[in-house]
Amino acid sequence: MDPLSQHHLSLTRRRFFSRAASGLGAGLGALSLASILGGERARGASSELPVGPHFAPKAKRVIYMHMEGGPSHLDLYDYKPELRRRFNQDLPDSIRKGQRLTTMTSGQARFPIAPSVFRFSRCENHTGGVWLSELLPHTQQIANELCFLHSMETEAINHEPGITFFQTGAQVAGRPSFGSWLSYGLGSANANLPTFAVMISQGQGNMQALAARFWGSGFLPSEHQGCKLRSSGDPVLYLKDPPGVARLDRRRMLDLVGALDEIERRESLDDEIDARIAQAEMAYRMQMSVPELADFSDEDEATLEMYGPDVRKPGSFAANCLLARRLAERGVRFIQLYMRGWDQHGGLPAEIKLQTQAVDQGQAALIKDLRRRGLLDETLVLWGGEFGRTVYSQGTLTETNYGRDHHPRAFTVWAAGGGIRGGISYGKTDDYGYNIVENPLSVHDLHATLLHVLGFDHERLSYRHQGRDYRLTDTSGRVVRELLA
Amino acid sequence: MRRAALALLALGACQSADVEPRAASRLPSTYDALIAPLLAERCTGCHGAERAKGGLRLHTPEAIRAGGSTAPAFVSGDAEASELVRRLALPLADEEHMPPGDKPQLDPLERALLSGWIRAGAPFEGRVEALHASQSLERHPNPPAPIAPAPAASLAALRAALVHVQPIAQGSNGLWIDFAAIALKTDDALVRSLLEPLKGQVVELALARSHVGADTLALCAEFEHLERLDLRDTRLDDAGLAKLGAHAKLRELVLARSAITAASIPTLLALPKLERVFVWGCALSVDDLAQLRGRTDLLVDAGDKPDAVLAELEPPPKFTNELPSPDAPPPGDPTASINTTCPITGSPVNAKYTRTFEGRVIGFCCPNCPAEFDKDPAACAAKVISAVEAKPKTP
Repeated sequence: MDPLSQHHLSLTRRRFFSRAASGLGAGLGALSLASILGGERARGASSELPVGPHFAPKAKRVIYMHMEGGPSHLDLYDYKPELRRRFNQDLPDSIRKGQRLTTMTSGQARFPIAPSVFRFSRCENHTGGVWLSELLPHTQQIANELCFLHSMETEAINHEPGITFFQTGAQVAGRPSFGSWLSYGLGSANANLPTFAVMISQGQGNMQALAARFWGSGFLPSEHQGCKLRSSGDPVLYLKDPPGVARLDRRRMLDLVGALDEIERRESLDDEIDARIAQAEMAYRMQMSVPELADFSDEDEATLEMYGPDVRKPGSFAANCLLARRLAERGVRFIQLYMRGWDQHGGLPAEIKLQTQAVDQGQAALIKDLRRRGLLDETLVLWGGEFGRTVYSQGTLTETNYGRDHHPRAFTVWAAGGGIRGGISYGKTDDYGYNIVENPLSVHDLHATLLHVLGFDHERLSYRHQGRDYRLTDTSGRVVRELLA
Repeated sequence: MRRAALALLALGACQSADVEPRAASRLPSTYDALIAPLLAERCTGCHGAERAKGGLRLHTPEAIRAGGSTAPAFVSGDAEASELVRRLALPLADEEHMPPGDKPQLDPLERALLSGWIRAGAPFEGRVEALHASQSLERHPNPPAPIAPAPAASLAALRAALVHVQPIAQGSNGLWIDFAAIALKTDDALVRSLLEPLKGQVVELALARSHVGADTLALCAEFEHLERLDLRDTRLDDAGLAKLGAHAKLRELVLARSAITAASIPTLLALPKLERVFVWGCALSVDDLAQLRGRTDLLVDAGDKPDAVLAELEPPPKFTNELPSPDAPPPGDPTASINTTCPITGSPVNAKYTRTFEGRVIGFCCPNCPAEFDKDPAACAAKVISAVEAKPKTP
């Protein structure tokens, strides 16, 4: 069958009526405004209008720092001093409870307890203080801004499904990324930049692959997918005009292609053509806006110094933190930073030192910088890996060296900024940092709570696909009120 | 549908609050603002107008007073004796726990809210201010909407100019407008041409990094619903800011890295509803900031918030393995056997079958093995003791 007839057939009766219905309802409130806004769409604007927040949001955008590999909560955030007196003891069965392990350690004869070699300090916050590791001296300074969630749990025990779960709310690939949901729900606040930007920093140790589908739009319209900004050379590839092509030539070419696309769209009724036109137009505008975005020359010395010396190395985590702030102040909705290399199965103390040196100053500077510019109030910041790490040592344990395997049953992430109650610690793990003993928080709960501060009822932000409504939180999730400012 | 009802209630609450914000008598009652929405969200699906499980309905004050078929819903003033509170506090698995285990549960704050209300006498009229004090208990109200719809042509013009415009929430005609995409090309004339027709709709306006000045602020003064104004990284000066006058609704003002000085202090202090102002990077001295901070209902962020206090540093960690494992038998239990495996068969010891030899308890796996032991107690005991002592206490 030729693609055109196939596409006509795919316009089912149900789809026709569901579209017609949203047009008919256009007499009321939001719908009327939405339809007016859509009445004369700027050329190249998104093919579907954003859903719009269900209620007035506390946060307008997100900066999500994902620590790929699974940072050790026990060496950074979850202080367990008693473990120092259990050095090299076997993990008690009453704690381990026969739970699933990865094949990397399930064959080990022993599960010897490896206390953290790092010293912790108590930083004051609103809930009696939070103990943070010496590895994070700059993050210690902003402890009173952060909301520590010590009782995160996930269902995945390996990287791929773990990251996929945090990014899309499901372990199996194919659902839209969090950023895509936000792009779909809120739309762009800056038509000259991507709504959902992705930046990757290379780490020091074991690095797992980062698949582009982590920031894919799944079944949402493709304009909602994340746009990866490259760390060296041009941030966005093929953005520059080729030699000999002037900007006016580019404009004329786009106008002509746009006209042809428009004819094709009328013939085929294919929505993907809208996305294509939108992307070509955005690329044209990004030719102007991206170089200005990535140029740090207008930053003052004190600011650069606050982010640390790495800020001058493009692609470093510090540089990406500064770039994240610049994207945030230009209205980008979802800024996804990845820091690779937290998968410390062996030689953890040495490796985690390098990893934390790479992230600590930049992430603390980002929070301070957002705050003083009046941006933190409306920007939601999230920091965390796809799981934590085991209290027992993987491989040989000595007083100065150990490794840790993946641990999904309890770990720490932190949030800050718009709508989130800063300076608190939520949830508790047992003496071994192995099981949650208070206020367990699932990935769905986290997503539901974050969507809430972004103005969405997570049960109503849905998209119909293959005959059913999909949500970021799937069929689960609970807004955790205690975390709201 | 229940959620819709909730939203309507919250909206009603807000509108009446808007009419006379200062008069407590006009504020919605605690029951209307907090209790009824909570019951509507969590309870009235089974205990409401349509269903009355256990004879209990919770959708009107009369029904709540009437209680259920076995007990009244509450005892005025005594939360602990109230059936409602008792049922909520039962373990989730308990048959009498409410809401049923498979239904969304009340969180601790919501339970505290219900208890607090009953403790205060469960009033259906009037306000229990303490319960309103905690912000997180308040439902997220949709912003009140006495705002007229925006003219379509003006919205289209904004979008054509690549200015971001969006309703602040579903069901509201209030607008959030952000000039981020064209900030570097934005000046007073452009702002006026685009926003003049939208005076009645702008609630949040972001003009950061633009070239706006006094004329834009004069225009903003006419935006009757303006609540947040972002002028970060602009060249706005004192004379410009002064044009804002005593704007009646403005809550947040971002002036970080603008050109304002101490001369703007009177302007800022004169804004009646101002809650937060950001002045980092402005020419304001410590004394100037102190003067601003003299206004206690105003939060002044000048980028000088102190770092978190390091309250305690732990001593350098030392590693030992002196703590007993939680799985080890409690020390000093005279009836515990010294061995864990039966000396006869090698199977795990059952605490029921033991012999005592020279003050030490030796365990066996079954009733037959002690008989074997009795044939030569000394030799068998020696075997057990040497095996136990050869094993290190900790691995």
